[in-house]
Amino acid sequence: MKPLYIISSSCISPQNTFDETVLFDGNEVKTAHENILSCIEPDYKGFINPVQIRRMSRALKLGFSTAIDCLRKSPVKEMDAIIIGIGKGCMIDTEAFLHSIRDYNETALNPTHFIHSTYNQLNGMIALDQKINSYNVTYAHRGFSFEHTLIDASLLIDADEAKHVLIGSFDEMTPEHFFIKQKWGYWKNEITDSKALFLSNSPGTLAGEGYGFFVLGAEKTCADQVSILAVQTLYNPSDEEILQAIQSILTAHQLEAASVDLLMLGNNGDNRQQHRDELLTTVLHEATPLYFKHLCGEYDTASQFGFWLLSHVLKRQQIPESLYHPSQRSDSLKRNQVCTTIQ
Amino acid sequence: MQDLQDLKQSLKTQIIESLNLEGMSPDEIDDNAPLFGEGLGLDSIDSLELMVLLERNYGIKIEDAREGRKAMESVNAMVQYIADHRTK
Repeated sequence: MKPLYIISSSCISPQNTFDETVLFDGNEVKTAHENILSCIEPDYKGFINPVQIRRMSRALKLGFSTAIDCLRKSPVKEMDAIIIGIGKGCMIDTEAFLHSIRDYNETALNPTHFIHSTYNQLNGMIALDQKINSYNVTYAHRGFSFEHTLIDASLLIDADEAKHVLIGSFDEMTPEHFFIKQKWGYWKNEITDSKALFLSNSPGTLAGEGYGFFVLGAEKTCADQVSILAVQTLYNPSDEEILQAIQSILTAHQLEAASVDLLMLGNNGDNRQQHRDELLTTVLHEATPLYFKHLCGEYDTASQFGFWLLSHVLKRQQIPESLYHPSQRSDSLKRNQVCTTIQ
Repeated sequence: MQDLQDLKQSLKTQIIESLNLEGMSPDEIDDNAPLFGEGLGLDSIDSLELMVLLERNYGIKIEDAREGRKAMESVNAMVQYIADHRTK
């Protein structure tokens, strides 16, 4: 795999990440409200024209604004591909459409909710607005959706079919979606503060949502550009398979386990899934473990938020206090080599 | 049965709600101005939304596209069409 350089990025999350400096300047972490972390909405006027906005749902407004912000930050304007990952599509429109089917006995259904409930709606809107008439793909692979945007971008760049790719992912949380997953035991039964998530020692986690976009390129556009050297996904792996995958990535890049500085863990505070942390921190014993799901909550494409955070940690060479485990003391970034994100 | 003036007022409110015309009041919609292209500047998806509105609120099902275009030329045209064809 050729390196993928992160040329620009933009992120809307339950934290003040749209203004990139805020999370790194020691500001107060926004906490969950009744176990849901909801995104902070920007002023849409600067991103969406009034004619477009009236028909857009909240998820589309947030996703479109994030993508446009990312493209504006990029010194490269010509995109060869748009690749977006989404776990379940625009939930509000899907729910409204399903309610109409029930309420009106499968007649007189609103076209707008149907159109916007489709997975690739945001891809189309970005392409039309930016006049990007090239490769345009949506991955709806639930927990692997964001990872597949990275893999696809890497394949395109490796095959010299693209030089610059806009990738991104998003998922929204709605009251109904929260309610259904509550029944399945996804969320914590007790009201949990974000800061106390990793100390809760109970089943379930916090619900969340988020929107993130990146312009990736085959070549550097500045000296200190963060790059992606390897992407690997594992479905329901055994401990042995995880260890083999880590070793194979390290070997491919002539690295030792001890040379990994940071380990971004996808721990979501569910006490039924803690043993992976122990495994990873034992193998990558020199790495400082960092955490992000107390800031964004759990959703299918949450790894994108961890990925966005890591790219900024590496670029700034600064770790926000909020990424450490509550029982951990902050440690300075020692070197600048490899980070691993585990969903 | 509503008189035409009341019908016009409630239809304008329904149009604003169903097409999500944020910041617009019923008084700002010109009774005679074209709904599509000029005037309100609505598009083809809006025309489908208006057909859904007619079916849900007035029990009117428009099968013929030409008849639909005529019925939705303006607010006044819609009001007259509703008065002539409503089943609820």
